[in-house]
Amino acid sequence: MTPLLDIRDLSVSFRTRAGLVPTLDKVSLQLGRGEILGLVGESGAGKSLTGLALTGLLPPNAVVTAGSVRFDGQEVLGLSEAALRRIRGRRIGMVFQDPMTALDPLMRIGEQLVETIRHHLRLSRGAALDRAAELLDAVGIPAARQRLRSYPHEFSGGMRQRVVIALALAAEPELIVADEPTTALDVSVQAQVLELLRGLCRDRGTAILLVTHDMGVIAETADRLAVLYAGGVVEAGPVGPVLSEPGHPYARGLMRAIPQVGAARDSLVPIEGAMPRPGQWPGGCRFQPRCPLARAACGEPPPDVPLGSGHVARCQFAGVEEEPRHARA
Amino acid sequence: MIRSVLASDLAWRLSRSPGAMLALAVLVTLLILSLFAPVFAPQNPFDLATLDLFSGLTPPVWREGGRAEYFLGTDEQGRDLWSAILYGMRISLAVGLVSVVLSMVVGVAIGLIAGTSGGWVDTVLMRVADAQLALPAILVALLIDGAARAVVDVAAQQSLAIPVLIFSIALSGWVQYARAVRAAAMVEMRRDYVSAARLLGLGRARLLIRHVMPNSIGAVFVLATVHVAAAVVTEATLSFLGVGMPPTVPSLGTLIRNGYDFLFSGEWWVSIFPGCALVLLVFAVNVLGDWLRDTLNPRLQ
Amino acid sequence: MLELEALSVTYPVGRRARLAALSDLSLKARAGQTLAIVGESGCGKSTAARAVAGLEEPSGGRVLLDNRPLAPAVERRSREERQAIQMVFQDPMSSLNPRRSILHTVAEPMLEMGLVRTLGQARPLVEAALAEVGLPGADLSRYPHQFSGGQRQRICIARALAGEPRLIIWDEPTSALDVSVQAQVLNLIQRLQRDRDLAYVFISHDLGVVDHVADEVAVMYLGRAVETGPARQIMRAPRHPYTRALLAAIPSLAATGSRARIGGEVPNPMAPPAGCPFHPRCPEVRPACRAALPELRPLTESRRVACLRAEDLYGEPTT
Repeated sequence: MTPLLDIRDLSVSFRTRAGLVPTLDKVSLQLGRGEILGLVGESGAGKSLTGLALTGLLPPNAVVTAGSVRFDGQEVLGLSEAALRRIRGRRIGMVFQDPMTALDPLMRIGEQLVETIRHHLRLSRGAALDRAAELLDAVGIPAARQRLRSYPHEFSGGMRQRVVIALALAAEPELIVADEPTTALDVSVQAQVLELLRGLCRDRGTAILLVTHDMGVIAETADRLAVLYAGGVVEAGPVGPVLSEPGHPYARGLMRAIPQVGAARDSLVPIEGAMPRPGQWPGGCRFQPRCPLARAACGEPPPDVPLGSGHVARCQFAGVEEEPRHARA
Repeated sequence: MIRSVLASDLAWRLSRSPGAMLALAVLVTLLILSLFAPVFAPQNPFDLATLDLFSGLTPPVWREGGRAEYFLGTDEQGRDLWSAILYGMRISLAVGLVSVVLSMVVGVAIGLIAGTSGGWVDTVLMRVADAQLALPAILVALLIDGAARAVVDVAAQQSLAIPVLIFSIALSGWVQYARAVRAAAMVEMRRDYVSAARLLGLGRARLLIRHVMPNSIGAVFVLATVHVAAAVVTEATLSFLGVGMPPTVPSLGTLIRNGYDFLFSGEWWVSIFPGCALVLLVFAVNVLGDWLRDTLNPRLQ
Repeated sequence: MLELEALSVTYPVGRRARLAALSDLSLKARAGQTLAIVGESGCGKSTAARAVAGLEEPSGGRVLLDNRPLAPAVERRSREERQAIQMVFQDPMSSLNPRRSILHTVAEPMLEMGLVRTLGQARPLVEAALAEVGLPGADLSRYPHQFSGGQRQRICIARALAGEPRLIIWDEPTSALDVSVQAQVLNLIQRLQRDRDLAYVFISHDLGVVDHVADEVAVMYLGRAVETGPARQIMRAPRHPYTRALLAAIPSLAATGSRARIGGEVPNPMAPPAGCPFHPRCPEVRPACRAALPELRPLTESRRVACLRAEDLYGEPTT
């Protein structure tokens, strides 16, 4: 079966004064119907850019230099703006970090929902209003009918994000791209919104591309994940194996760098240095300057090493135990 | 270091904007010509001894009766117009620049105080600013000039002309600086580096001058560029109305006023050439100011 | 060393109303130890930090340093008092003046506190301070925007150390940083405490981070402390239903699947619920919880809980 979303070797560069600066390098991702794929990485790794590329919303100075993005078998790259608009919002819904940017502060949320629904589906005003109430109910907003008359500022942060999810669902999309949907929310509310997303996936068969920097969010929500580092996927696979036995030294380092409740106090092992910015990437493996396993061979582009059941790590030492370097604070 | 980076970036952007480049070239030429007026002018138009009344109202060189030594012709006193324009522009620019600097200093100080004090101080200062804005510059200048004439004797009036002119133009300009700086200072006060400086016990004056001001006055320089043009026009208007520079120390406005009497009797050049110089100067400054505003405004990028 | 006594802060909202951002907070911090204040947005943890630093004037209560009360505003504190307390903020970009080089930035506290008299004298000390925070050999003439986020936070830490304080208030110092960098900075923060016997007040919303650094914890909700005590005990055997809920809500790296969660969100602090502020979301609520505000009362010698049912929930208290 062909995946719903099939990204192959997607490369994106930015036009700058210094010429073309590669920012995404041969990113490949597959996402099936009803599946949640977590895309995790630090700021500047290229995770948001990937989400924007597949909805045709790249910034004007970004250029796709290679690769393909197929959505339901159809090539998305190079589509006209009109054709993209037919996909975006209707077949691919979007949820961003700050719910306020997605909502018009001067419009009742009922009107915003009805407008979106009628834009995508041929429905009468009355029918659209019914559907709006259904959607609010589906995202767990109590007394949905009455709340249609409220303005965005009358909702709390978590409720606003639910409204944004309802908007994204308006046209029954097959895929939702959620970019840091819970980062602006408190922990207790974050858990509620993640549960909502998982429920949607289960009940409606909606696929979700969950873009986040938070490994915990991925662990809770996603079926599979891909770890981005400096514009490339360094590790991908089912959540369980990747988190319990990460193959790439970067992924392993990340797991040891996350402070967890109940862990031993001196257990935090940071990864030294910082991720190189686009334009400052070293040749070969881009993690090598920070890598405890780095050898001369890492100057060559690293291979994708399969580790079983779809788990892949882009490192020639994937799965090899490392000798710990002495930690320096 | 940061300045050279900014400067090179500005230069790079400038090189991609032909309009701004042209405006800059025109402005630099005019500045050099007027700054070194004694070098470029064949005559000192203020020195009555060099004036030759018999050469009065000579037309420009390309018209019948024109003479090579008076390229743009002369006025009724035999003053070489080319020289008069160079010297006049010098005075116009000096009055414009000094009044803008004055209103900038006052405006920045008031804006900083209002923006960082809050409470009643802020309210009072901003009400004063609102009231000031209700009085147009020309009206203020006329009022001050009238008051000065009533108080000061005739001999002192000549020497007071320039300070009065500068003061009245500056008085109408400070409000915009104050508002811009107040808004920026209010944003900066909420930043944590200000909190960090407060923790060290920095006095209010040092906190404002060392930390808040350098980060709040970016917009002021852009405003100032456009204001120089506006101040030159105001000065010309006032001089034209006869409350500005006296005929013995003519600015561009005075020259236009002088020529106005002859405009309809055929000697158009006496008024038109200083007018052209004024338009060229103001236009160049405005184009450059607009470009600066668009380039330095991050929201427009 | 540092003591907060019934500290309260209110903000005016509009003409009449006042918002109680912090109510009756009483805590102690000791040299060489970390007191962590945790809670969700709007719980008053940052307000507490700013009130201790003297950046926010309390409406009630007081802050004591070595048993002597501090002036409410930092501007009225003595040089010794100002020198004792420094603060590191959440956003390293906003807490550095973009137009001052790092030499000027880090030297400023040394000059203000009278440790050196000229910039020239400060230079070797600035170099040493930067080396101590992991930026050896940094170019002192560079500006904040030329550094990465993690490096900027190290510069902020160097500045906080430069005045030789005895207590540092950390207001979410790692929340703006990436995971791999966060661990570097957390380790640095802990090493500095060991080396210099500093007292820390550590503000965070991240319980994982808190569990790593804290000796004592105060959990706050709607401007009030709901549970205080030794970190280990609170993180492993919470007695307040809110603390339990917070711990349960953290996404865990190991387990997938659902756990016990609380519904709802933090209520509007302008109109806090009557009685226990947590009662509308509390799974253990009883009618009595709606009637009166439960006071923060001792449960064991070291622990205090503001819950009527602290004894009958979750078994016997451990010490």
